[in-house]
Amino acid sequence: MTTPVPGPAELIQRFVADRGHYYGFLRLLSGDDLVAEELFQELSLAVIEGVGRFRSDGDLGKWVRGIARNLWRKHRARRHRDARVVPLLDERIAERLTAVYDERDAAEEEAQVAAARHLGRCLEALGERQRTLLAARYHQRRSSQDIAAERGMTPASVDSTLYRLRGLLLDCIRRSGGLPA
Amino acid sequence: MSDLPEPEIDRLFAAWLDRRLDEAGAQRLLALLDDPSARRRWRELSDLDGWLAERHGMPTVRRRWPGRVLFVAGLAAAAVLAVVILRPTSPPSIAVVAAIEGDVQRLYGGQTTLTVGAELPAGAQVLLADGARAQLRVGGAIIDLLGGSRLTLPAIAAGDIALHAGRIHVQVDPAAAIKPGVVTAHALIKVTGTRFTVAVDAFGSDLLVDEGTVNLTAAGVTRAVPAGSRTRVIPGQTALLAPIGSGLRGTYFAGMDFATPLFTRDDPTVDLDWTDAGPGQGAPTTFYSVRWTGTVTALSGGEWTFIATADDGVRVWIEERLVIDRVRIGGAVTTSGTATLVAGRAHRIRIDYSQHIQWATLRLQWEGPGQARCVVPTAAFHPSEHP
Repeated sequence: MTTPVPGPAELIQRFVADRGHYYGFLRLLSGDDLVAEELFQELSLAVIEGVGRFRSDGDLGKWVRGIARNLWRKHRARRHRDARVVPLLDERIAERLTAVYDERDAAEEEAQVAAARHLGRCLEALGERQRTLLAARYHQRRSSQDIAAERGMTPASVDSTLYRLRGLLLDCIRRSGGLPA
Repeated sequence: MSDLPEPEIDRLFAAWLDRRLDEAGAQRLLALLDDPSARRRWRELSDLDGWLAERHGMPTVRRRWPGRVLFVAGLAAAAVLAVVILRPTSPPSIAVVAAIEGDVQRLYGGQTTLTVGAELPAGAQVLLADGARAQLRVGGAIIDLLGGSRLTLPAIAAGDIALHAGRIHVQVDPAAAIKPGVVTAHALIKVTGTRFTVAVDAFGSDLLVDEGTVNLTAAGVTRAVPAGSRTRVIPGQTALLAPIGSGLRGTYFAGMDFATPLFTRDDPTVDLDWTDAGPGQGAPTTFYSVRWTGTVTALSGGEWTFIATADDGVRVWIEERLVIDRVRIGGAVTTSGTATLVAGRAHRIRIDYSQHIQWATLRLQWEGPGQARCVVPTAAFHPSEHP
């Protein structure tokens, strides 16, 4: 019995369904909202253009992340960006993180796509102030400094609140069955 | 998490994301990532962050652009323009903006606000703020985008549009050489010349075909969806729900006690005024009753309110539960009741209506999550209990 070979449209569908994963990967590599946004558009184009060259028996996630990483490297070379920690350590962490993502198997991909479907409800369950903070950071792409100034907080407390909110959302998604316990 | 404190990996994730990780923290992160559960937690955090950054599930609001961002975006746009002009491998223009209302952003090569006449390259993403509208011409298709939509244009003229979120209406010229399809996270829609609407939310994709036929592929199954059909694709459930939209089955009785059947027919909605002529088909104009059965399907889950305005009596059951009970003789009165509906699931419905003399009216409306009060549409009803 042979497994049906996914066509280009099906592969693009999988990419679209899992786009949060690739966006998150680019955000961690770049550490910059605008750069991640730009790289994500370039990645979308590269995937849509290149999907015909993808080997159907390969790992789609690994292939897409490979493209993402190349885009980030090219971007960094163009912009001569400052290293985040120290250059060699940066590269080691990037290597390690890529390996961390490459461990993701089909079941985990499916679970994460399902988790995204629960995210809306979990956001609704947050308080108005918490939702506004998330919207300011993620939707309006405002810096911690800007948000802190507007709310009379310190940038560090904005970051730590966001850190707590991410934990709360993950717990909520897990409780609602969107992620394995 | 095994022997690793979960908050520590969360803190290191936040520090790395916010560019606050020092060398000691980086070394600690590398050590922690030796633990499989820490690695899994890292991936969960990263995916969550990606979905949030992609604005998934977030309310769409008009963006506030600080001056610095506008300046950078302006520079980026100028740079991209230069690149597009000078670089031979730059993506070709594939769409043109025909109309715009509200805040519509192009997300490629730096965010730029779109204006009428703007040309969009292959692979560009377009994002509409809440309440905005835009019309694009892509190959042989006219695409109307509604507020909150986000889509990626195809890489080549004959490619498919990727709809990430929101709602678009597509009109394809049957004579055009190039007819783009639409890919969502849940379905692939291919057309040969027709009009249809695609909507995507966090839970599934919704297809409404106005004219012609489209081929819908989901979970490896392809099916032709005809005009007048509404189909919702929900991952994890049956690959494709049967098209809905043909109304309810009405059984007409002589007398007010549902005892003497006269005939059966399918009615598109329950919104009638038979004061003068009666239901027709030989039914009496006074002292009769009608029982409608079938299913009702909502496109969003939650508590829905059913509102019946009847002269004379009406009862409504959803899944065997009586939600409206007003059996009396007299002028038109409005009564309501609530039921919890699951998005995309066909719920059994039964409506009993009895008419005495004089005025004969009945209107069944509903309102629920994302739906303002309206007559329950034909698309929501199916005359069989097993659509």
